[in-house]
Amino acid sequence: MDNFIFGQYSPGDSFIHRLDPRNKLFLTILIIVASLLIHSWVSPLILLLVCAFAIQTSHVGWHFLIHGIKFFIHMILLTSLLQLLLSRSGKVYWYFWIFNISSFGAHIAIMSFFRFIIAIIISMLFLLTTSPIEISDTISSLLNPLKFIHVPVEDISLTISIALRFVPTMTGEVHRIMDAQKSRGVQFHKGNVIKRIKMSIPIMFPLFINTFKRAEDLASAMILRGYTGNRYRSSIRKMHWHINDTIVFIAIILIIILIFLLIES
Amino acid sequence: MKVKEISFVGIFAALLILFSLITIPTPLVPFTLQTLAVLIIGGTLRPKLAISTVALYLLLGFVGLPVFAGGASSGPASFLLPTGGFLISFLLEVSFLSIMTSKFVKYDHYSFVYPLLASVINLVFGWIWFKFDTGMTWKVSLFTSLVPFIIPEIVKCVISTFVSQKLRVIIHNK
Repeated sequence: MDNFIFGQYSPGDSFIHRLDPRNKLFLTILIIVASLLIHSWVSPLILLLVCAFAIQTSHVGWHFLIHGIKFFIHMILLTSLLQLLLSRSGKVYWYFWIFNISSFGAHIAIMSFFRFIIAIIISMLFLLTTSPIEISDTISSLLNPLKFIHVPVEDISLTISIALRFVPTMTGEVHRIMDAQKSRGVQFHKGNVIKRIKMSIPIMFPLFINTFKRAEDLASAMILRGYTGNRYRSSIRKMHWHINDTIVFIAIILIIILIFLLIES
Repeated sequence: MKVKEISFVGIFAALLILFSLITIPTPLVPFTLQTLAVLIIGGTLRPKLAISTVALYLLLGFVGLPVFAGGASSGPASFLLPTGGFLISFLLEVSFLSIMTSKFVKYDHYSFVYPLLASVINLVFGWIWFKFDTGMTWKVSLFTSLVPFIIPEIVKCVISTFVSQKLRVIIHNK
């Protein structure tokens, strides 16, 4: 749990790692949206090929990816199976009680299977090749246009940094509270379900109260150091858009346009 | 945003992330503390802070940080999965709960009703989302996505009422 936030990132210096994180996030979202809009059987295969090529170029290794997908695979398979067995439309091939296999059911089951797989693979790839710091910078830069409608973007990016910064601190706090309660005789791993759930209360109380104190202290510290909200601040880390970013950006957009023009139409 | 709001939203989002990572193993349905934390935050913080905290948490999950239950996240895909509706409706849940508790609560025996209604909003929205996402019938999706969570959710409502009630006394002197 201590390193969870950094757990997914696989450091490296591949072509994909070096791409601008803003570009990666935008293309990730674009591919996911495209995968939702396609209806032909060929299109997801092309998108999967793009994903496979990206994974190969990123050098993160397939085992990382398979490990990540494993978590979702039961849910995806179950959803597809239920769709296959419970939707009745088009030509019915087989039926038994409320279950049946129809041409429409088979089609939506396969399509939704591919959609989830594409969405998960491409998101995993983004996570594996982009460090959490880059991700938090990306969120801030993506929110930038909202400044025009007076959204306090600088403040939001500060809250993001605070949230990410304090997760490890508060994990330590939970361990401390658990140790303190253990020393008073609480046994966290014994008893039935109800007992175990009840055990969470002596952790929650001190944790919430300490969290309030911590937030108050942080606010006081910020005020004392003269922090005033929503002003332009420069950043120590700058993101750079290189020629490679432009190439990848154009290539992906072209592939998606071609899919919609040639296959989907 | 005021400095105090920035600090509270950031730190409580961290707390929500932390709670989401804790899952108590129970038979059949995993008992995650994620929904419990949303209920406690909704029942304790003022509406603006509570809603901003949950919105920030969802934003972090959306861009791909592994902040959702069990430490899993697949970024934007989390919202497209059949269970995405449960995540999105956290916002409705926390808005409803924080507004109701901050406006109408003198804590009494009925204070259990607010978290319960908030959970109903969450579950029903999640169920409708699940139904349309998977294309199942209403009845089948009801038994797959809503019914198994009813008992754990009631337990969470009881705990959250108890915890929020005491926390509000300590924090806001209410």
